[in-house]
Amino acid sequence: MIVQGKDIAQSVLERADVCIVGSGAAGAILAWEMAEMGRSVVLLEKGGYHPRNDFNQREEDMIPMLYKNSGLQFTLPTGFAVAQGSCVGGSTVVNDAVCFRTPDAVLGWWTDQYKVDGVDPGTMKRYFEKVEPRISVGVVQPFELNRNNLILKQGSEKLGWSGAPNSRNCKNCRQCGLCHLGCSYGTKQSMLETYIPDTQSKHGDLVKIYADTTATSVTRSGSRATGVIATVAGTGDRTFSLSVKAKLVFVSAGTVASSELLLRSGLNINGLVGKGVAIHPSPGVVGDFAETVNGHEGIPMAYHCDEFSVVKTGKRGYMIESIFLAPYQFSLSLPGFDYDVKQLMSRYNHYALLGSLLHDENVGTVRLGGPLGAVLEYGLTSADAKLMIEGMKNSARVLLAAGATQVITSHRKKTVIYSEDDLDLIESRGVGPTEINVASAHPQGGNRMGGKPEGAVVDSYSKVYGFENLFVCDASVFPTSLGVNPQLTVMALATRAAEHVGENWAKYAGGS
Amino acid sequence: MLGFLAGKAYHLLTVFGDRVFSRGADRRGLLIVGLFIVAVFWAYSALLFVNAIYFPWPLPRWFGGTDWMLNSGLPLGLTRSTATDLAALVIFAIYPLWFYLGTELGVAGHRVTNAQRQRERDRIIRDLAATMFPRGGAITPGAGDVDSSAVIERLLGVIPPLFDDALTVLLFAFDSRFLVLAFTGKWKRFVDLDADESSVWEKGRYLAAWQSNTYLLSVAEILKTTVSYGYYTRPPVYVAVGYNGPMVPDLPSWYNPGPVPAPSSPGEEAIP
Repeated sequence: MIVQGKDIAQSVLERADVCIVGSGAAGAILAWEMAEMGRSVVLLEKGGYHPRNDFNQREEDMIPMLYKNSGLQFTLPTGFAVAQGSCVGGSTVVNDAVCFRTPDAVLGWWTDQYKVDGVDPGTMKRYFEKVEPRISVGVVQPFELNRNNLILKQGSEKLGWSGAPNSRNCKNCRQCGLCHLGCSYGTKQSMLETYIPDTQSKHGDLVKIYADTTATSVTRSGSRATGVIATVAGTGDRTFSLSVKAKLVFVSAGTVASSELLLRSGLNINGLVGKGVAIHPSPGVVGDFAETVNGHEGIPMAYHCDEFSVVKTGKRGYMIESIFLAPYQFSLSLPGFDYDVKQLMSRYNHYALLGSLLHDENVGTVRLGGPLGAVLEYGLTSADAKLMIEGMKNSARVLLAAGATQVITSHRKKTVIYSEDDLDLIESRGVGPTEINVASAHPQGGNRMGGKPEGAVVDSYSKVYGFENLFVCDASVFPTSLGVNPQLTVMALATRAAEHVGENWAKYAGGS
Repeated sequence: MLGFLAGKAYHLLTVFGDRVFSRGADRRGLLIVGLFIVAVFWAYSALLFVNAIYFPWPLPRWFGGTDWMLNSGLPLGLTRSTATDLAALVIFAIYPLWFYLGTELGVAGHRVTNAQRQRERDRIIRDLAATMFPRGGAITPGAGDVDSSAVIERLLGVIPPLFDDALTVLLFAFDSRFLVLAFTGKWKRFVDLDADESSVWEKGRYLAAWQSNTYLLSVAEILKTTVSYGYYTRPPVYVAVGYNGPMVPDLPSWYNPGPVPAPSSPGEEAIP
């Protein structure tokens, strides 16, 4: 049962075995798995419930409807834009469906440096294999590569760099190119099309989803979480309180919101909540081609070059990925706060766009404050800055190799590369906060997982240290950033956490 | 002058605080903040005057607090005496007056009706959009042609109220004479730059200054993101840049189903 704010006209008290905050890649799976074990679940989602028929592919309508803060979320003081979904299904509704398993090297770091149990590649494979068929993960076929993706493929091949079509969670994709505005055809197998409807149809009696509901605090008694207090944006522009009493609480609201909820609830026992955030900052590099590219026609993210990424090298680097966006979001990747951006946008149909996804260090912090209740402080380390420059240079090389007449970087001051000789301009312009315009869609970390309480917020199975029955399960528990798109890792960790809780239910929930 | 500036700052706090406090908090909180600001000015000035601290910027450390209070960095050659002590007492005593005047000036603006304030905000948004997206050039429609400001206003109506408040304060700060003076040397509001209404040259210079300032960078990016939303989401702009979406309920004209696959399970339809 999905309860929307408009259905609520009075304060509500709920009791359930499990209360989950957040309905994205982790929360939806946790709800399904808990229900499969016969547990009753109340799932709280801040965003609205919007089935695919609500998706009209218009930025003007979809961005306020589906994105957190209507897409207006920035790091301080760097001003990097951080996109996150805010709707039933979370970011899986607005992502580009790219699926990577956690790189083996990253799992090795988690095991060796952070002493996390049970995340070796062999163990994790079991969870990936459980999740992937449920969301129809498959490799993009050659006929599905549009010109923008082919430019990355051809450029990489010319340079002798490794690359491959992406795996995506999509079934019979219509290639409309608007995944990030919600899939109107229902072919993207987001949580909205898979786990959530499956949960509703099979376990509708056990799982109740509240949309338009903002969790404000986790209640506790000693070392036990007792439930969650929330507010519902109810009927007639009124808000009502929703109190959930539960035997076990999962916080799965994403890096910023999960950290904010723990901080707001006074649950920052070891002072580490909100610390160690990474965002995968991904500066765009635009190639201008003489011929028409029409990058918006077809799958936006269907190919990647992994020559410099952890997947191939086993160390931190960057992944070069093709991406394309409708005009508004695309315009934000171009330089300028004045007339120049309009001049540049006139070549929209001749542009190819590549992003170099930086495998960054976890140096950001979520803290309470600011008009939105929480701020994400983040800046690049000098090592990250060096990698970002290298990533932009090599993205530009790919575009030039594929025949771009000029390459425009995402520096705020317009920077145009015409040939290999100009590449040093990228370095001389720099990547400081005043120099570059960077977007991100992968906030992660903040509630680090670790095998020992020192240096970690949650244990190897997502339980918050110092509590008996409080769990955090989402991208915020990553001990390090991934270097690849994170949704599949979140889903696998959620499946794993649910299995662990199921096996130890009496221990955590304090009953049978 | 310092009292005046503090009063203006306090006014910004009042505008923002009024929205916050109207949601249930105690208005006395604002009064306490105001008194605290005056107390800080008193304490800082008194410590300077008795030479307990030095004025830290932009003068060197050896430039004492008393010198600064008496001469303000000018070659007046005044030294401390009974007369200057008395004058200082009088000046300190009227700090609250200056603060009050500055606040009242700000509050005078605050007393405008919501409708008037809304109109002013619309004007700032409209001029900002027109500066970023003037009519003509490579993409013919201007922001005014596609009613960008109305789209932005709609956006501000659906974002969280506190964010709307913050954006409103940012827009008024952006429009402030003080910032325009700092970046252009002109004592004008942003909306009053460019005497010729058809020109956005001075306004464009002001925008460029914002984007190059480290401390205002995040704000500039928020304004760009907000205003671009009102322009690049408009169908006439879609046409002008050659974007042919959206296409629902139909399939995209470029849709390529590839080789028709056999149904993978009984009952599943093949792709049309």
